[in-house]
Amino acid sequence: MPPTSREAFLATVRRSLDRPGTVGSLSNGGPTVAAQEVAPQQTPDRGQLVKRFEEEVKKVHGVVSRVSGPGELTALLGALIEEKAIRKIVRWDTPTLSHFDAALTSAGAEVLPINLNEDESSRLDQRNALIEADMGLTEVDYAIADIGSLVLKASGLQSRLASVLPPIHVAIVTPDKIVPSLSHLLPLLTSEGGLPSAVSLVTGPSRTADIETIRTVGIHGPIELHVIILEDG
Amino acid sequence: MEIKTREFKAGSRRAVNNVRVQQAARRATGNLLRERNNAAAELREWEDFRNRAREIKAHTIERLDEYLARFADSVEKAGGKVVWASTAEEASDYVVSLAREKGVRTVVKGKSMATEEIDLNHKLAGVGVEAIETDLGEYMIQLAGETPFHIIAPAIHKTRQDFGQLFSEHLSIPYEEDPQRLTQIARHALREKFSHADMGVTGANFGMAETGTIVLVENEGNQRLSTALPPIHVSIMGMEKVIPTLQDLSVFLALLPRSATGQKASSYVSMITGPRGPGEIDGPEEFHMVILDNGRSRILADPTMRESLYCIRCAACLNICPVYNSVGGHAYGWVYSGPIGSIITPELVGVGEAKDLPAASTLCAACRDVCPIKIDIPHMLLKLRHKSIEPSPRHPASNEARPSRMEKWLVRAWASAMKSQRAYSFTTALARLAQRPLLKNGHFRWLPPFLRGWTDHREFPALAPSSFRQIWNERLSKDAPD
Repeated sequence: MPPTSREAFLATVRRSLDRPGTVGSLSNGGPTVAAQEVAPQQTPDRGQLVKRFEEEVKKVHGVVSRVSGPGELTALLGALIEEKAIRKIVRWDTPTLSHFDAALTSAGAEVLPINLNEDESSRLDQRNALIEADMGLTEVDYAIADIGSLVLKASGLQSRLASVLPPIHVAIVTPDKIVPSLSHLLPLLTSEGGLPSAVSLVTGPSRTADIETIRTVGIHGPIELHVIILEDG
Repeated sequence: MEIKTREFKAGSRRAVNNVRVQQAARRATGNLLRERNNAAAELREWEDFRNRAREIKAHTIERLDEYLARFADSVEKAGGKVVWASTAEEASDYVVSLAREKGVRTVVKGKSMATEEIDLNHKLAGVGVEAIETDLGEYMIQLAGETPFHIIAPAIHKTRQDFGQLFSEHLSIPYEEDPQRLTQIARHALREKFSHADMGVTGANFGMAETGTIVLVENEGNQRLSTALPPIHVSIMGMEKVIPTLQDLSVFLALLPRSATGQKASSYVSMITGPRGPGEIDGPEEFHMVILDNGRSRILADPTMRESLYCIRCAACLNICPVYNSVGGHAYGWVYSGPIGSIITPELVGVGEAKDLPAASTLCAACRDVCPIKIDIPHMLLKLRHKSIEPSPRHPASNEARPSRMEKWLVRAWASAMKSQRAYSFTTALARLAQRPLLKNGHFRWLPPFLRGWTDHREFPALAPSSFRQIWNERLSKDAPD
């Protein structure tokens, strides 16, 4: 059976609502329910935000570390590679992350930035690398303090799959990215032009409770989520 | 999904006698409810969020035609294709013909009740397309050849041993019953499917009119994979899921995970706006948005029933319901079970088809109290009971639904006795005398044939030896303060 036309579908809806007027015509103006916050909060200071974010990530079984400066970050990543026996890393193609390639390679891991590639065979290589990688390394666009969430936007430098396919996801968060709550975040998402095709909120590792409501991890997404807070050193 | 709502009584009898399933389900609903109660108590503005969510839903549903038009415009602006499906067949036919046209062999599915409604898996299988459920619970249900037992936790009636046995049979692996290891087994089996899938099919928890964004709320990551790996993404959304703006989402994302599982935030929330954008690395090349009516406009047309469209499918009403906890999810005979199923199923499949569903309630109203949107489910149950015996051009009542002459007479007699104090005293005094020969240990062991439905399974309490009025007059009035 072919689909209904837009006009006929909306006419049925309008008839059911018993609303007069032309089918499908839009009244002017936005919704009368103003999109305002139910629970307005004062913006806490940066230190409090970082502390709250750290606590909330731990509550959802994320591993949080704080480092001051790139030196400590490199050391931490090196230790992680050794501890988890990581061989392959896929990462976002951002300038910040490219600085760590040499250190990661010397720690024994192969690093591949995932980027927009016109070449068919490189695209295939990247796809295979994403599927085989032991670790995905990303930054974040924002982080939400009161629920411990990471906010990841899709872009030409920021692969969606790099944060969901590998069994370990490592995300680097700088304190300036942390916002107090979801209602602080949402206006920011649309303020910088249109939304990308995907924005993901990530709160802890992949989990399920489908077997006897027992919590297990890593059903589809990462088994481990490591959040590294990079403070100015 | 095949409609078996007429078999409610047989199904519930089977479930009540299945102790193993009942225990497994009760343990799960008890856990979910306890977590929900803690999460709700922890959020100071819980009631404000509920009121706000209700306002937003009421506002949107009253102008649904406008918001749908706006949503569709936004989806198209983002590069998506919008499909309007009045019926389940229109929706499934569209997906099936799209799959054939694109040469799709494997479809990976995120958990979606809308796709259950349109029976998509069977329709795709009919043309040789393999559709794999990737949510762990749904995957289990698909392997078992069953239907979801619960709206958000489809396999709660299964034990770890059930999982172990089915995985062992279907994946040809040694038996395993450790939940974490079973989880890893499923991960590997399903990764294989994901990496070869040609199409991803999901539902949508919300659709934002302002931006044309659909929102998927989940814990597992299978929705993220279904929407990012395959070259085609199809989302099927019930038309009532539209909300006005992105900002409204903060209210619903506070309520949904807390009501469903007691989480402050689910592991993943995906906001999907159209297909992969120009210059973006990954994501599908095509995005198809199927907007589904399938009986929802009938609900919309009845002002009493309209608020059942505010539902966000958290399933808290299932977890708290004494009837659901006794008869389980399968007895309800279709996609939606529990109190919300009892009010929307009759409207979607026909009141005459599902008249037992609204009758299966104690009207205790716990569902209304736990509902994050404060949907007045008990009120609608009563309305549907009325509808089921009141023939209308749209829902002709069947002969069996019509009350018998005896029943009508009894109700009339009851009404007139209750309206006058003298008639009430007289009839109850008479009944006290009449009941004597039928009592055993102060209870009725059996009742006449037309009332035997009660005494077949339990005793019926007798009228007390004397009325409150008598006791008052004889004793209590002397002790009462002036």
